[in-house]
Amino acid sequence: MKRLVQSILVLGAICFLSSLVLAEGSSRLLLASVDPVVLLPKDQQEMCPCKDKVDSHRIRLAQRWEEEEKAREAKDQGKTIQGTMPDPFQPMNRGLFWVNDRLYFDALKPLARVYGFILPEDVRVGVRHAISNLHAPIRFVNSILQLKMKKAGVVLCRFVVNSTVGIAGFLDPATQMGLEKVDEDAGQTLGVYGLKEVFYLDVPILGPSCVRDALGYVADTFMDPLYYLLNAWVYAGLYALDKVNETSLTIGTYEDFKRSAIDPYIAVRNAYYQYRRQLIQK
Amino acid sequence: MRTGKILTVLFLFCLGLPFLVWGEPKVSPMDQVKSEIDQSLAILKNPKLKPHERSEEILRIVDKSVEWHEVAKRVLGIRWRRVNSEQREKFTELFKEFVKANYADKFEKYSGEKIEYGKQEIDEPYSRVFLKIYTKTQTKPVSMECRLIDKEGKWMVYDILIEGVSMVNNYRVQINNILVNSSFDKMLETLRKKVEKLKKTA
Repeated sequence: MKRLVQSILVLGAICFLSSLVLAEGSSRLLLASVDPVVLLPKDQQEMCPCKDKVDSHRIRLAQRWEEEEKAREAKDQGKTIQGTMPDPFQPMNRGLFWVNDRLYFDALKPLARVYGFILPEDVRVGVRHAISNLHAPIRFVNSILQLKMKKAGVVLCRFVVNSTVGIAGFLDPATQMGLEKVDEDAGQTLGVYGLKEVFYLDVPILGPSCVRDALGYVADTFMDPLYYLLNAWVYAGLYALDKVNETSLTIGTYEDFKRSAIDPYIAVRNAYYQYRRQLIQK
Repeated sequence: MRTGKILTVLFLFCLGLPFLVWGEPKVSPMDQVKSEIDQSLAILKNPKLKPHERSEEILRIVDKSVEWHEVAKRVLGIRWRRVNSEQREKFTELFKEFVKANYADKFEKYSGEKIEYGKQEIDEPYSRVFLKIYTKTQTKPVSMECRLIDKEGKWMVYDILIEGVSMVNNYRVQINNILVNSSFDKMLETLRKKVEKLKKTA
């Protein structure tokens, strides 16, 4: 009986101590087990006879920690889109950025305000749906070109449902049926086939873009049946309506973004870069 | 015999101690984010609070849920290793002030958008929580991703991605662009001016 009590006591004490070691200042005590000098006061550490040995050990430890840190960082950075877009024509692009900024504040925004004042929000959302529905063939062709058959199927189903039940696309019953809008364009198709951005371009009226996406934009226009069906002026008018309608629904977004940036030009360029890269990955 | 019983209890207690310390059930990243958002929404919906009180309360929650050192470290990028601890501290404080000044009035824009919680991914010490925000005017919900890091058992936010655009990455490119052409102190000065401007126009 006495021995049992004794052994229980000893075991208990070991467990208690080990839990203390683990809980309280574990790093310091663990470090002390390999590097006892750390337990000495700072000024005495220098005088310790085994300092050299301990120093080399410390260096090794520091190296190991740094390696672990690097491995952790690599794991973390693997998930974010790294790098920046080449921008050899930055002075020109900054000028065009300023032009687009003025176009927005002096022309597009006042126009969108008046437009938004006349048409209620629900109607404007309907206009957005309808115009987007008209461009469905572009998304369909690009999904096929990227061999994303499921997406192509979604585009087709959405087009059929929204054009009929959704009254020529003004309503969006397809989303309620679980068919979420697909976002594919020729810029992304080129990206999927390995074409990089080449360099950044700020296009007047169109806004931030790059060589790849500008090429894609031209290709998309040729893929658009409306381009062949409509008169050029009507086609341009449809684009203008889309732009004004879209602006009326998103007033404040650009302003907020610009306000929160330290350098708005760089912020827009980088946001565009990250956004497009992420779309291509999807 | 009685001492034996007491000792047995003590022994069992000691056996359990490590579990008490280490085995604390950790809140999952999803629950962590959800509780922080729920708290913020409750504040926004509280009619008794004035707008500035609301933003103060929410900023307090933000302050507690963000690991500012991790944010600052990533925003500085490679520069973080090259500056001393005093400069790091200065930058961390300033960047925190910048973010808070930036978002102080943004919360008021919330108008009942529905938030849908998606999946969570854990890859120690990191985790990601995916959300979808349904706005009235957007055809597609806005996708949002919170990145968290395990700090002594608590998941803390260090980056937020909206439609795949990382805030930390965006600010890193902006700040590095300043640092290419000027010194670290000049960059701090630019940032300080920006904070003052934000506070004035709030």
